[in-house]
Amino acid sequence: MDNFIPKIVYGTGPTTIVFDYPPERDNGEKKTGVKRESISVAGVRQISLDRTEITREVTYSFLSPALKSSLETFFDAWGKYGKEFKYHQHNENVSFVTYELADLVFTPKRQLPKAGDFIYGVTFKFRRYIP
Amino acid sequence: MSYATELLKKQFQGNIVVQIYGEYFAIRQPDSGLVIPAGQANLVRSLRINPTSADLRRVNTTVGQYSFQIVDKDNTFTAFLANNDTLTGAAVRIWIGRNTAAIDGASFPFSQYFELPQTIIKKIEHKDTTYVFTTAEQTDRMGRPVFNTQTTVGAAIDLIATVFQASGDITKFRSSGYLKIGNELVSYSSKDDTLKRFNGVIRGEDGTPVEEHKLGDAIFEVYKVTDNPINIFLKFLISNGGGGPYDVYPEGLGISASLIDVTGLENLRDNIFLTDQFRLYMYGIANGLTYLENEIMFANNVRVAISSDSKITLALLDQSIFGAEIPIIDESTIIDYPSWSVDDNTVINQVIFEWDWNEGTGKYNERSVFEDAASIATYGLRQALKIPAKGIVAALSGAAMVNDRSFRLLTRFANPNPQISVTTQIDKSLVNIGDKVRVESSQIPTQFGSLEFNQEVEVVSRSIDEMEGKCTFQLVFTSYSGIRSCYIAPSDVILTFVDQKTVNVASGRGAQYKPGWIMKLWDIDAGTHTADAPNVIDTIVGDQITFVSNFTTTLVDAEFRIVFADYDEVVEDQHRYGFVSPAPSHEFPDGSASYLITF
Repeated sequence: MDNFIPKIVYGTGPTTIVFDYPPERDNGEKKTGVKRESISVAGVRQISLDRTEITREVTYSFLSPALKSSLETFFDAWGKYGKEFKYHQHNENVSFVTYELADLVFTPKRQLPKAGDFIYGVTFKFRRYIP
Repeated sequence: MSYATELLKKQFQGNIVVQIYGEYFAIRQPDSGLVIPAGQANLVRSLRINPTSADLRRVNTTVGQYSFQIVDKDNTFTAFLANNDTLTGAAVRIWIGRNTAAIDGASFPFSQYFELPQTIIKKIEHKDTTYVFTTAEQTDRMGRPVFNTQTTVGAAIDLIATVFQASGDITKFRSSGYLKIGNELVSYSSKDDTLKRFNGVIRGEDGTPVEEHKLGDAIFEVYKVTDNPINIFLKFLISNGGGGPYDVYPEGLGISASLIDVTGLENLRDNIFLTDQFRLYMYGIANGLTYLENEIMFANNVRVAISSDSKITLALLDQSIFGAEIPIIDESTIIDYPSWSVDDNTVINQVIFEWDWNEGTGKYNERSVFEDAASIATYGLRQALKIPAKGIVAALSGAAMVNDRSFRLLTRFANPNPQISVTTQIDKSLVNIGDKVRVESSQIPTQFGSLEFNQEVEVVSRSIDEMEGKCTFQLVFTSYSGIRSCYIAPSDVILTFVDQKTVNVASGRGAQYKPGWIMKLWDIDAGTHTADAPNVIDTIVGDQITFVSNFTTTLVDAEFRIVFADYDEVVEDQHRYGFVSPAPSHEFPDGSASYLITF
């Protein structure tokens, strides 16, 4: 069912992180052709396409401390090494896209204090490529 | 679809496949024809074909080197290396191709990939999670001993002996042939392996002195050949198991004929060296490549090279095959402004040929000195270029060969000649060392005081960066650069016709035309062009030429000719042929100069 509440599946276990809410912001995939370009003296443009670089920036809000902790573990044990994980846009659907973290950073933001801790927000930039 | 065709496309997705230690790695999966394991399909990162060059004054063969990188994702390649006992010295195969399926729908199969000459690993580095490999061509197989069968004298030989006693094993000697002992060349008619004897010895062959020989003197088996120098080159490489019609010498390097550009070398022989004959006494050769360089290549101004189909060939320097089509490097592919330089140190104004080798004296009978007086007056006498040529002998028109070679060398080097460095897009990557190319640029000085350069020059160095899509060439003037060639445009009577666009010309004449050329129809009786528009040749089969469009004039057997369209109507390829320049300016529409023929 399309519920727009995502989940991340990673590792050999594997480990699954199910979000509580849909992302606050998800602009979808951005594609960039990575190329080598040269232009001849007369103006003829040569383009050698290396690959298609695909990125996706997703912002999650209102993360519970437990969920924030799970994401931190995901980053420490897996994501920061550039390893691939499965991203289900709808956690109840089997379809997924395989990504790796594009920027190896984890910067949780405190949004609200709650029960001695905080409610968090975090932004990830995912990456995949078409060779 | 071929790699050469794909190279002409300016927008592409390239691919490199490397086979190392028996496993394939690539930038990406080929469209079809080869499936690379998923974990190895996207790991190749770069490929450079490092500069190879031909030294105009020396004959040494330069060894081509490649460098490529394989990403060590998740330490996959590190683990792979650990399973291989041999790191350096292992053979590497590299293919270059295109992925076209995603671009224009048709796949480019792996079978059409262009394979570079096989190399072996010389160096491996690991840095920044990437393995960097440096590999070199396998010229080792040419650099080994050959025609090196020898033994020693087993009992002193006086001046009249006709049986020679050897001390060592003589089973490798031929059943009859020639021997060299000291300065004396002898022939023998039979041998006895058990008794280690050569029988039926005829002393002092080929005018060599009859000498006494001491116990322990070296006896070399001699293979005496008189042949065309290119034939000798082919037979030397292929004999001893290479197969085919050139596998005829009792010894040789045994390189498979399939690895040698036999057809190209035969063409070279027939076009340039057809009447030349060399005589060589082959014995005691410690290094086959060095021998060929010294005895065949230097005297003929050729260098070992790798052909465009990755076979061993010879690059012919400073000779042009009249009428041969040559690649054009123009501003549609030149990336940066070419650089141009002249170096006074390149001047050679004295050539000394030593030739007509005497096996008896161990010296050359002839020493010919050639000088360019004007060059000496201007630049002073420079260090002579000394060319020893044992194969050139007086009895085989050697004097003419020596005169020809010396004239060419002095013509080329008596004055400092410019060198041009140019970087092009990847479409010129099949241009090779020794190839002649026509460079057309608006940024290279000419002898006419302009920068509009349009001349035939020679490639002496080439490097390729496959990933960046760039080729860098060093180009030099030859002794014929700037010499204008005159080509007469073909014009044939239409003897018969199939339909209004398919015509038949005289036997053998179809080969004079090319698809793509633009022609007009000429009315023989009226002596004028017909009203038909210029028409493009679509296909040629034998002597039948089919045009793209029907001629509107009703064709009649033997009443019309096909002729070139006007200068500004034809394609670039036709411009080298003679055209009548239009009055009154007598200049062609593209600014090309016209010539006035006077009587």
